[in-house]
Amino acid sequence: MTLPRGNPRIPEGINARDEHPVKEFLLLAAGVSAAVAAAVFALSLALHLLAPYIPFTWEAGAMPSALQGLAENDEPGTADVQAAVAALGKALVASSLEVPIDGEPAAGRVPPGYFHFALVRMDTPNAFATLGANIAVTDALLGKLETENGLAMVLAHEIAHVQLRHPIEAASRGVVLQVVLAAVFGRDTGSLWSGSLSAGGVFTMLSFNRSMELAADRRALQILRAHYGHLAGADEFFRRMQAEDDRSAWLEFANTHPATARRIQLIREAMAADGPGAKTTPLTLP
Amino acid sequence: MSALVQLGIFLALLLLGFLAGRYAESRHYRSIREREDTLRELLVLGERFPPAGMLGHESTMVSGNVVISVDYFKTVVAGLRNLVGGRINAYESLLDRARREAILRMQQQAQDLGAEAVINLKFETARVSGNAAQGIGSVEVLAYGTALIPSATRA
Repeated sequence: MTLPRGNPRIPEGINARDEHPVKEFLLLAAGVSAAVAAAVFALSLALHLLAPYIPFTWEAGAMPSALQGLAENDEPGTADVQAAVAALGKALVASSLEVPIDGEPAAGRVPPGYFHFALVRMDTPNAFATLGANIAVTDALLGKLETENGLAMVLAHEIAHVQLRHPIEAASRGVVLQVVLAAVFGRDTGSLWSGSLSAGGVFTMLSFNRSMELAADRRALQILRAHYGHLAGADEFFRRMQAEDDRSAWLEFANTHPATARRIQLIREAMAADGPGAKTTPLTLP
Repeated sequence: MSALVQLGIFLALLLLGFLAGRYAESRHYRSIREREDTLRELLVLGERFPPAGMLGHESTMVSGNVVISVDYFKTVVAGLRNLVGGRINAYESLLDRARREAILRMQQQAQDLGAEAVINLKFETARVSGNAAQGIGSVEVLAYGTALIPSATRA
């Protein structure tokens, strides 16, 4: 063996390819994002189709503990108001049973006894529907409304969300999204499972999409018609919010609720079908 | 909103990792090539026995050790690559640098001892997993071999 005169010059580009890393990153990111988007879309669609068949008792059992306290909300001085809101809500639930969902009786979707109505203290006029058929309205909302019909429309909208199983669909979508992301990006799945349902189920986190809001409005109008025989006053909430001096409150509402303009249009069109002479009932709260 | 903040942090880290990592890598490669040129005469061989001309040389073990950190950009690219398979180019250049740097440090030690060659070159590679859960770690490469030192210079 003859010894070399020196160490060889290591040829570049064999062991470490001289390729721009950004190109590789963009290619990979685009491919993986497309695959994740496709998976999320397919799973969301499957959830949309399957959510109505999730037994309601499962949903009631999965209610996050953060909401248990709300269901037993008894702030001093508001008990009477809360009882009045709940009475109206229960009456609307009873009327809603006359309106079938996809030709099936509504009572089969969510047993009427599970509905719970609560009053929450909040500065923004709003209403929520969440897991376990819990519906909440803020005291600021009650202050805005002058007719019972206006409040009934808001409650019927939330009842419709629950009966159309939107809360469990939205919560499941949140969980599925997290699971897909965890599977792809390898987050710690242990903490994921414990945190996901409570995080996804908290009121404001639970976001309904455009088609959910419109479907809930359509059903709410049917419930109102079954309850009052007419739709007078159904647009009161939107009317008051638009007339608000403080435009920021309206803008905030419109930003957090999809399809607001389309919803107002939908309600007004339905109201136009009413004959003249329908009377609204004034809102009397203790 | 918090999702946007998280995305912003992610993109900022990605950009920082890319710019800083790219700069560090090109600078390191330049330094590696320069030092390889200066140490080219000090032979490094995989051969286990001393070559014929060096049978009478003194021998001692020399080693060179280096730890190089992965940057955030490389971690992300490697994470994406993990999903689909294939060469992880980002890590290949990292390990290439680490191996060559380890040899250079070993050669430096051998040169300080007045060695003429280093035979029986071997490598050890380890992962220094400081923050393994998030996939960011460092790589350690150890190069070691037997330095052959002419007896006369030893005295």
